[in-house]
Amino acid sequence: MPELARLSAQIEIAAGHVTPYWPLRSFIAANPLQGLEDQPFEHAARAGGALFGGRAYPPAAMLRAALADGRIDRAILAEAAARHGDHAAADPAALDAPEAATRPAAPSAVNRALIRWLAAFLDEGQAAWTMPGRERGLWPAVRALARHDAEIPRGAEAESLPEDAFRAVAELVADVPEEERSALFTRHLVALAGWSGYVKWRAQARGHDWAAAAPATLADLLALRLFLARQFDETPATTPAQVAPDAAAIWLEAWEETWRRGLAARLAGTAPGPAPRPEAQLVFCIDVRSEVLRRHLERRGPWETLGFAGFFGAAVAVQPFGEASAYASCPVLLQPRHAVPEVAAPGEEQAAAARLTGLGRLKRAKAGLRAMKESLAGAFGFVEATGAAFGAGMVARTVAPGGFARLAGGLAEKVAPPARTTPRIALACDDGSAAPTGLSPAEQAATAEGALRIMGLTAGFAPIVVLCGHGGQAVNNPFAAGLDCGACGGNRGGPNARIMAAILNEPAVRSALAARGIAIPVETVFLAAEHDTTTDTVTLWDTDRAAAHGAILARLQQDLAAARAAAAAERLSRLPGGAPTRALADVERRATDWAETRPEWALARNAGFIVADRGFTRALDLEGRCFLHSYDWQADTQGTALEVILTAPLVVAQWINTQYYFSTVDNGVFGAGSKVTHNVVGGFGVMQGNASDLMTGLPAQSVQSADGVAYHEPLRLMAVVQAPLSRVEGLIAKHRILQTLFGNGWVALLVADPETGRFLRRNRDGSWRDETQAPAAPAPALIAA
Amino acid sequence: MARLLSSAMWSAFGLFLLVLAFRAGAEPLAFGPFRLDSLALFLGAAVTLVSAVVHHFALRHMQGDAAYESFFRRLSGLTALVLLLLAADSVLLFAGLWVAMGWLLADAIGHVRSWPQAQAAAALARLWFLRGAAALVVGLLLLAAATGSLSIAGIVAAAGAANPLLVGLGCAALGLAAAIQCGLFPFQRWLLSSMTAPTPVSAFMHAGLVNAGGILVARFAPAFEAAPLVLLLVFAAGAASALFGQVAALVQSDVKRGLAASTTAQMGFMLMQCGLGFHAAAMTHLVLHGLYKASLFLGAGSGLAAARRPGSTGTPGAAAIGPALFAALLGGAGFALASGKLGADTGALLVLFAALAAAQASLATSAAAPLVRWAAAPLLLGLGGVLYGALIRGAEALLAGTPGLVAPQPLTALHWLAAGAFLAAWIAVQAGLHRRSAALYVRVLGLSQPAAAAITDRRETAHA
Repeated sequence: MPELARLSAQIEIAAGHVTPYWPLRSFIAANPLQGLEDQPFEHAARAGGALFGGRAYPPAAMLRAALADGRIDRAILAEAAARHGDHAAADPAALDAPEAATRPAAPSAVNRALIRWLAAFLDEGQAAWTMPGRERGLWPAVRALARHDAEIPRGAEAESLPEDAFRAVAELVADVPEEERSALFTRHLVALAGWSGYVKWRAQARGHDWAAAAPATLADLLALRLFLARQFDETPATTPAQVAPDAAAIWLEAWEETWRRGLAARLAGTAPGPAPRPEAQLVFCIDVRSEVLRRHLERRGPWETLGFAGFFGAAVAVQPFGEASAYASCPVLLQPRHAVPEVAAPGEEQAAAARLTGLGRLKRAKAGLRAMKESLAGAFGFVEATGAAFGAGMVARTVAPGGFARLAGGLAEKVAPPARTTPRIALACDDGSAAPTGLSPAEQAATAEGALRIMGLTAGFAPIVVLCGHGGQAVNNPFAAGLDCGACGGNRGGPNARIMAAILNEPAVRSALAARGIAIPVETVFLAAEHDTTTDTVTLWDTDRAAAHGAILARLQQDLAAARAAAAAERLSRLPGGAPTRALADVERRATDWAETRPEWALARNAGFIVADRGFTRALDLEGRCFLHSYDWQADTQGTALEVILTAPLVVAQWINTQYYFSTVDNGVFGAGSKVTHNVVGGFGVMQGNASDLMTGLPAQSVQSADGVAYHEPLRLMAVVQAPLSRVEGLIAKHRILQTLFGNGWVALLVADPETGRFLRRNRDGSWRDETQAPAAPAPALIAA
Repeated sequence: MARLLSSAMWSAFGLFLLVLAFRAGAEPLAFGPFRLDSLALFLGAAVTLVSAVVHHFALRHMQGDAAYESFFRRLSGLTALVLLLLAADSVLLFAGLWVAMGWLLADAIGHVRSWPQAQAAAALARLWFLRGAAALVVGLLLLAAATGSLSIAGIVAAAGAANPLLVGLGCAALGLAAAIQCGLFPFQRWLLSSMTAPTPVSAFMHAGLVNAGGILVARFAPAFEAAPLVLLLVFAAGAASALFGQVAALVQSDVKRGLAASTTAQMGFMLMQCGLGFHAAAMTHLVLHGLYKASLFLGAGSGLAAARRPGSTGTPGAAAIGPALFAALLGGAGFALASGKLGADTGALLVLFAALAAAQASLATSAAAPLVRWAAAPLLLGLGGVLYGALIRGAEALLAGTPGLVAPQPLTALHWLAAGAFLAAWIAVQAGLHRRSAALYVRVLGLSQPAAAAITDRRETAHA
């Protein structure tokens, strides 16, 4: 029916404004204004602010504070104001005017009813008594229950509407002119943008059990909203935008320019010395947190470090030992092509079997405890019989969190003793029903080659090459996955590092690589490791592989320990209440303390994305503010590696950067609000207080050092690319996403052309301005390197 | 300042433990309008323990909060009020402290001043606390008029010989105040709307302040026992809440409201124990539930772990019935013997609940080997029953110095009815019968909603 097809298209347009929300277990950063990225930033800010009722620029107080402590340079501010022809904007008073013009929105009965039904419908296991009829879909399920809902004035009327969501929507908007419909749908969908985002994610989630058990689409959601709106005689509010004065845009630009020019000057001012022939190479994730540890490690010995997306090119689904299903451990831009199970290491079969039994016992004990809590008649005696034990645990966790963690971990290990496991990368078919797991030899070689070429490591292999994934540590923290690796889809990166190391140690892979011009010396060994970003510990796996390089390994581990202490102390100097003098004790405490709301700063203050040889940045202290992607412009003559870097890791970095930006400028509307009043809902998200929208974005404690005191600096990302200008231009011309990001001001671009030694900044219209600074060394050393 | 208060709370806990150890069972210390008996010492130790943990937790958890210092002042102030309330003997002082406690607690629920929904939740709580306080004042006046005494000790000593109508009405009013304070059905709304409070406040509230209702009834236990009809009423109200709260907890999809609904249930159970005449057992329940619930609230950030796979809530098979009955028998017998609840009185209901807990625990072993299901688990659960019974007996001995805390009542038809209702509801839920009624689901969901004004219905007003 053409009418329904039109309706479907109108809904599709509205859905474009909804940013999908991933369940918190695998934390995925997203730009809350994702649907507006095809517009210049300033337009998107205005439109998004009006749509979501939020502030899209830093508040005046934040900007004034930045001016006061020099993070905004006065001269640059004046220059920015002049460039926009608005000299008065540089005056702090210019920030004041329209912010007072906000008025509170009217309460919404539709939102309240919807929160209740969405929380009940989308629940993924929190409630023991689940909403009836969920398998039929969101609209049909609520439609059948509405007659019993005392809050809905004439709930039974739902049943007179079609059960099909599209037809129901069609009937409900019958008297709305065609041309107004998609705007109406948009206003409805963004009214509770978080819940809509989860529905949008669930509607397209693959391999998510609940997507089938309780299917929901945005059409369902619209049918429900339109029905409720009719019941309560409510139109979706055109929320008053918190209009930031135009001056704020100018101030933001000045703040960004102050930082960016500082960075450019420092990059130009360093002439890198020749790198010593390294005894080991360590590949870290591009994550800004890696930079701190890399810097401290490099200063201590003959270690070369590289940066590469922390999934190491292994776009896989990891099936942890003892788990029935696999999870995608790769950037969400990719679909995992292979599942890789973790199996018992050779000779560990018995220990692994014992562990499996133990894990089963722990799981059953947990389920039993839960059944006791939920029991209608048993819960009372249970509380009395176990209250003292709960109390003892509570005291221990509060007074000695580290000790409690060790005790609890020790007990769990008693029940399920640890067993060494290893990823099974070889192609295997366990039984007829399951899809085959692992990679064929050809796939392994192709994966290995792709990764090495993109990270620019195709020659000069050291005896030991460490692939170092990362993950954070936090307890009692629904946002714990936010500390993990974004390139692994918000999971820990260790499994990917192990898979890639195993592939690169395969003799067959080595010979296939040699045939394609990448000769890895026989004595070179790849080791997998994981960087715990909360404690800065680096754990190496299967070090016995490197037995032939025992002395190097010993020195490396020594230097990693020393670098850890220095990196932890540096990070603690930036954390509120941090104790850099007792760094190791403090980071260990933060990692295990159930009262801690700031275990680490994660990616706060990120502002730059540098694609270059490490020699370009090695001498600098980048304060953990830059993503560092290795790039060998001389080896990548075709630009294929740069193409991948700019269209994948850079795009993910931009999601992270915008999430931090918007969570900082308006934490209530675009962030998740304060952790102290969070309420975990459905096993996948958080609400504020009694009930609210699903709180997307980052919590206040992740971007503020205290209430109202921003720690993160809301600066849009600047990419710095060390490559010939023509190569970069060619790629921008080829990729729409790059034109969008650079052309609309979502990401700034600085090209450090190694052939000319020039620093060129891209203007939004695609022209370039030369920002080569007078004393800039045009880096002949780089070319030599 | 905050650190100092936290240390002071730990010291107070140590002090209470010490005094309790030396003075358990001794004559109460009377000074001015206060009277320090073993009940006050016992509960004082529990309250200061939870308060100290919550203070200690909040030192880190609340770091960076704009109202950090006032948060701690309020928390310490609340603790001090509860301690004074425990020791107050003058009814005037008692009423004054009760009002102040409610006021300050409502203030803590509205800790975030810029959050309209938090202020609405605080206003709702304040309104109900004032109503509760009014009921309390009426009750105290009636009891004072009946006994001619303005001290709690005087009232409870004279209640038995006083005008039964006045005592009954007075106790009924006190019961109403207790029900409101405990968030009992149908007064659950303020409690279910209080999650705007910072997590540590919720922990302390559910562990230390909703309990005040139970303390009130226990303090006037001899008066209630002089009005058996009112005691029966307290029992019925408690039982209804226990059942309602436990069912309401089943439908909650957010962690904190699930915990709050469970508090309504557990407070109902506690008042039910009071209604059965086992005030000492109720006080034990109050303390143990406090530790349990504070721990769960402080750990509410771990809620993602609650996620399950679809279809993982099954019903136990018929093969589980035999071992469950056996475990119930052993668990119940162990509890009865150890606690001494062997008479044909309301003690039988406590035995029943112990037996049902054992049966429920037995169901968790249904996947285990037959030897475990039929022998090891029932024996262990029987032993558990003995320990549980010993715990209750120990508490009764500890609190023996306070009059009227152990007064079993004769069994009535209402008791049998309530026992039957619990049993039937438990079996129905185990068998999954409740899932057949969509209307019941919606009704329970509706009854357990927070107040409309306390729902953050727009993101712009969220707490950032």
